[in-house]
Amino acid sequence: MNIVNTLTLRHVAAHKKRSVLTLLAVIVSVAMVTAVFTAVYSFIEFMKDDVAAADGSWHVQFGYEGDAPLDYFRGVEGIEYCVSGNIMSLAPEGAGELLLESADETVVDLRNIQFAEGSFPKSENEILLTDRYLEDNRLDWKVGGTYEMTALDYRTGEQSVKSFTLAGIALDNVSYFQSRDAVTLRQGGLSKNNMAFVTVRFDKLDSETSGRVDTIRRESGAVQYRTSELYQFSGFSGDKSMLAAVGSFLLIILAIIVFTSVFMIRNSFAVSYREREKYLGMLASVGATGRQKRGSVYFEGLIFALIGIPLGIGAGVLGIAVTFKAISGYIPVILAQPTGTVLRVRLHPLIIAGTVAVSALTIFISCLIPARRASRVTPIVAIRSVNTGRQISAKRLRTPKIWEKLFGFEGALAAKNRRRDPRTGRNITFALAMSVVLFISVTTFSMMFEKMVTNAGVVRTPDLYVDISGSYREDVESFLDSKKADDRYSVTQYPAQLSDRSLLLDEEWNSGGGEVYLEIRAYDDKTFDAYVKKLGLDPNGLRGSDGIRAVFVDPSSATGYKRFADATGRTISVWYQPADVSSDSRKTVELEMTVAAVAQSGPEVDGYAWTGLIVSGETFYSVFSLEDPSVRFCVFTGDYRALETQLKERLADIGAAAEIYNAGAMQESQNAVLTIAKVFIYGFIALLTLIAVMNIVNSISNSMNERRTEFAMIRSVGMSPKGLRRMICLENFGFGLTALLWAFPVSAAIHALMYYALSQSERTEIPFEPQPLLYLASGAAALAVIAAALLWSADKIKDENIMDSLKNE
Amino acid sequence: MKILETIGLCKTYGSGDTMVKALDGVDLTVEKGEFVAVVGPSGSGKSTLMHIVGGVDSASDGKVLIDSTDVTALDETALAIFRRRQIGLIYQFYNLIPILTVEENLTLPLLLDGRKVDRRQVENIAERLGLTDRLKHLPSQLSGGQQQRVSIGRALINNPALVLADEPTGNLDSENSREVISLLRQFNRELGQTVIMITHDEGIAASADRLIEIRDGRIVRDEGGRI
Repeated sequence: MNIVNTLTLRHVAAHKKRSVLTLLAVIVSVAMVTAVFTAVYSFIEFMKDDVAAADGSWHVQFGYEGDAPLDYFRGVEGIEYCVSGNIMSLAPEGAGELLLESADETVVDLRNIQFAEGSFPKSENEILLTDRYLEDNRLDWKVGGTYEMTALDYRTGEQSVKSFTLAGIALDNVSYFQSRDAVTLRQGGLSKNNMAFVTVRFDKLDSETSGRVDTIRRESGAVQYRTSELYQFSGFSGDKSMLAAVGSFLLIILAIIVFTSVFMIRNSFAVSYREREKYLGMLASVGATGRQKRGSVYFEGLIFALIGIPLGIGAGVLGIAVTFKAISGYIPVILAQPTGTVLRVRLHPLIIAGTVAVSALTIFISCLIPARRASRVTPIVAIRSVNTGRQISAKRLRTPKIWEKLFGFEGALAAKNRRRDPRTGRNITFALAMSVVLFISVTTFSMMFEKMVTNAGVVRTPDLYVDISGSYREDVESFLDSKKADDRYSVTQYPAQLSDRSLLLDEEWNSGGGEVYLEIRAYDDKTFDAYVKKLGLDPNGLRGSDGIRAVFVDPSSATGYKRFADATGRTISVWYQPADVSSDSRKTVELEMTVAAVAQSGPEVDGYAWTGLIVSGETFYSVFSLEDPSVRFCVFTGDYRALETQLKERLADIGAAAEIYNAGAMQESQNAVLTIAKVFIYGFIALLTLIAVMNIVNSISNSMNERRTEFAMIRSVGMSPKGLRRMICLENFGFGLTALLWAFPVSAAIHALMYYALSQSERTEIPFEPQPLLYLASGAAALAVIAAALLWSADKIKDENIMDSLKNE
Repeated sequence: MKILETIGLCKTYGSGDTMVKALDGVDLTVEKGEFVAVVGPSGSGKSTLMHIVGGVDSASDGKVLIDSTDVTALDETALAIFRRRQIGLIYQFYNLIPILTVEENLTLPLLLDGRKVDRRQVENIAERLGLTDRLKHLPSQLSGGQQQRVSIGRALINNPALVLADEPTGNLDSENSREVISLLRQFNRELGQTVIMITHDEGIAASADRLIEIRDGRIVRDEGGRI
């Protein structure tokens, strides 16, 4: 090792406290870079595994009209494939439609089909059926049993009764069974009138795969094709949008980390450079070149890189492992179809290489300015002990008289000191202000976002939506009553169109002649009565048989851009097509309704705007004379998962089919995503703040150290220890207060901007809530950091002998 | 043989009304092997002259030729290398690097040059300086006189063309001062080393071969030269 590097190494070892702080800052910075890379890579790998578990390991599916070109695919090397196509719609007695696909046995591997029992069919007379179909239809079929059912064969168009042997029962936990219930072995050609599909998995994915897909598509005459998510995740598919999005996200996060880290670590190197300035001057006087002096700073960077990068990578991986463990409970909640895939830390040599490269670049950029300064140090610095810092005028150091009156002579000195060393001041102020702004902004953003997502700022929305035929209305009502759901309402609707175009205000609508679609809605009596009373009307007045009286719902009525004239009291005409149009599809029915009131919205609370008319249930059913119109139940309950399961069981018991949308579970999933996002964002901010705190401690500690002689001199002329403490505290807390003076307005401005952006883009009513407590807490934390830094560095000065300090000069 | 020649050397600080002329057209020639004392009151420009000759400060005007090399024309890197090989500087406050041992401080110019250190040469010079048993010590473990001897050794380790000493006894007691001057004299006589020394001490100045007095940036007296 050359003498300049030896000198640097000894300097680093001699200044243990500062070196440890610098090393910690490097470790935290590297840990963040590692965490970001590892988290993104692990998530992508997790998604791949999850997709592979739920969707299988296929990459591309080609579609053909009629039969697939089997001869062509036999000649393609390096692929595994399966030919499939829906061939029959089956109807077992007393059960719902059973859609049967014909496929090669490779479908088991390519679509990750798992067996509850039995095996894949060995002939076209055998089927593999999902457990869900059997459960939903309450069928007690056994593997090996033969069952008769009506079959509509797509290949021939013939309907007949066929017998199938149940070869196996498959778990309905893969996407393959979302659009079919059973599969049989493909033995011959597929339908001439239907689509045939070839699902392909490439042995190896590389940059040429996308070209191969195009070639296969072109040469085999595929009329359509689609790629799997697994293929898209690989990065080799033509569609780079997903990876581009991940890449942009990664770049933004890394840019923030690098920028913050450079700012913080650079200061550590600058502090070290200032300490070594005189040595460098001495070296220059005995012939050290600019390159050698510059090299000494880079070497210092190398020392911290060699120690900090491996430790940082270890800390980052450990941090992510702990974080994954902490959020593991939320993972099944956010997946649409939980597959049992575990989120665990994945590492790849390229991830390590990327981390090392970004970290090394961060440290190198941090060294650049101190290194340039070091190369310019002249021997005069050593010979004359000159301070190369910028000279400041006496005018700049002038302090207002009031300052001295308020805080005494120590206060005035503190103010002068702050002005004397603007560089240290800027470092501390910026680091503190940035931490406070980041913390406040992210906290207010997540609070607003949470309110927006959960709608907590407005009203509670239904947890379960159940769409079911009206014939089961009473069954569902009595079931819900027995389960004591918190609340519910039901609505039924019928589409109609406005005939009375004189009601339209907008010229374009009138002249354009476009149709004006309306919904005629009826709610349950309780909901209808409460709603109508709220509008100041008598519910019974809207139930009378002397003409239809309705509430006109017009969301534009409360806006500046009204679509309709005030219809209150007017009789308007609408038309609709009756349900039974099989005889004459052009048949329409005209209806006249008197508008009792105009409202901005209906009684529902889910926030979806619609335009139409609300009539009483009685009127609705008598007017439309529909045979069991579909009704939607909107249920409020805390136990939406259990209620959904119980409701499904009940519906199966009575043989009713229903569409159930579990908004509560969806909300829970959104909350889980939010929690995970918060864990990462706060973790990220905590680490950034940690670097900032180290930077502040380093700056204050070094500033105290550099000025030991000055403090001794002040004490030698009679300043008491209390006075000295007072001066130092005022000086440093001054930095803290300046930082807060910047940070609070900036945070408030960012809060306002975020509120504006969110309220504009989402059109959701979220309240603007100032957060004084958050500001107070952040301010207190910032000042606590200053106090901690002072405690850390004050021990050097406290009991120091005045003469020893003065002699050091 | 001329080892040093300055031609019309000027150094000014500031500008306009506040302009100060530290050196005002200094023409000086020093022959190889001379032992020159430079005297003058504080602020007369003697240290400035020394720094410019030593290549650690730049001249506003004029030329400095050392062993026929125009020092003022060298770029920063070339000047650093020249300083390392051809100039030995001794300061009043020693300017040793506190975290390097005596041996490392002694051999610093060689180490910076990337040259292999000749153990015999180090031992020889340490013996002459009376530092043999102090080679592994840090400067803070030495007395002021010993530290200045290390500084002299560092200046001489490379057999430079010129040794420049800026008040080398200014921080020492009379016994250590005598010792330091005696060492410089010894190297001058025995090795033919050219030495230019700034001093305030009339006695030390009188022991030099040649005495130069500077006032207001000009040479006002030049006595005892080998001309």
